[in-house]
Amino acid sequence: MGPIEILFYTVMLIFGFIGLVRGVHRELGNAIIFMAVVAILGLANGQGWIDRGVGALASALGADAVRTAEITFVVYAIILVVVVIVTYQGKTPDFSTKPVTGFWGGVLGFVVGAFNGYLIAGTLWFYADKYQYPFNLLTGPLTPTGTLLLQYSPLTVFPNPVFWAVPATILLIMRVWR
Amino acid sequence: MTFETQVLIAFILLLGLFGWVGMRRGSYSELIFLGVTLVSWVLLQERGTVVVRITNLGGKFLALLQSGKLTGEDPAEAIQVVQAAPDVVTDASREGFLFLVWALVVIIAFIVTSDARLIKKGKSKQLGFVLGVVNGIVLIALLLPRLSAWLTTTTAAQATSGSLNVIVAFVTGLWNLFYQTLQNILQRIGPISPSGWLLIITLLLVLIAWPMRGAASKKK
Repeated sequence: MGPIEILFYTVMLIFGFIGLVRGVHRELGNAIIFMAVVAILGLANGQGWIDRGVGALASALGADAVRTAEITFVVYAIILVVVVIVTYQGKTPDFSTKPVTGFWGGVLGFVVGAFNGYLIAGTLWFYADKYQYPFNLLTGPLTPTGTLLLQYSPLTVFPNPVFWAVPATILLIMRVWR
Repeated sequence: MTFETQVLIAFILLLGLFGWVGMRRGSYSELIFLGVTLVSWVLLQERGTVVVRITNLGGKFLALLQSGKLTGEDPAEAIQVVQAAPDVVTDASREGFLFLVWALVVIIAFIVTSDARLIKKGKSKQLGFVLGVVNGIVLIALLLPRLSAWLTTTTAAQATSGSLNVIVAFVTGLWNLFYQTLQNILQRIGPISPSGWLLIITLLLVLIAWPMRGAASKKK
């Protein structure tokens, strides 16, 4: 199997193509939700809410440290995946009233779609790394590129992931402002 | 088929593509684009020193701002900072910088002249095709010296094999070139602070969302 960053690039590329097809106006709506979720998950991570909750549950069930780490990762992953599915399936605060269509709409859709892919894949990668790659997600050491990319994951690029609330809020204001 | 015939067919295909684009964009757009491309190229080649000096002055002003001496009491310190600040564009990077400026002008001109709200299409499709071909010749002539240096080192060897390897090699080479350029730019500007990243991401998203801003249409 290849390095994990190949998977990261692939997810970004796939979401880029999804963005190309759906259009930039829809992708921006998803980006608002994803940035807000990354901020909230980052806050939960910083405060240790999910870790404490899962830890209490796991110890009650008699799970060891490895199993607890696996369950915690799964909880984070489920939250993110559910949000992704709901966001792509349901309604978002998108910019459909004045969509940019045509060539530039496609290009921008690809860019924002890839950005959404970065938020999703980067967040999952961060938690996989934090919990020592449960379920043998990674068997060897990270490559230098992987180590570098991990420093720029959505949860590490800012000193506090709540920073993501800034662009999310600005976009939301732009969406509702007449 | 001789090599010359192959080259000729390749050129006809390429110019045909430019002509088709010209036909779609219209003659006025193509004419303005041609003018901007040529005039900006000549101006930058002949009077590029002005742009380089303005950029270097801007760089020195930024260095002065960063040092905090702009509002200091001793003007000598400010002058010292300005004198000590290195040139953003050196003699070695002058050519590359001017090419980048020209490329930016061409891209902006292409986008602006593609806007049907700003520029009329023109009635003659044939004229649009011809002007498109002329634009193609100009762009190929200006870009080929740079492209050929890269193409000969990446694909010429594989081109003789005549299989799909040439496409794979081209795409790989293009990706490596893009990656290398990105690395060079990042090395040049140095590590970006978290607040810098926040500013870049926010600005990019705002710029993308700007034409689509505004809520649902007013209820009647």
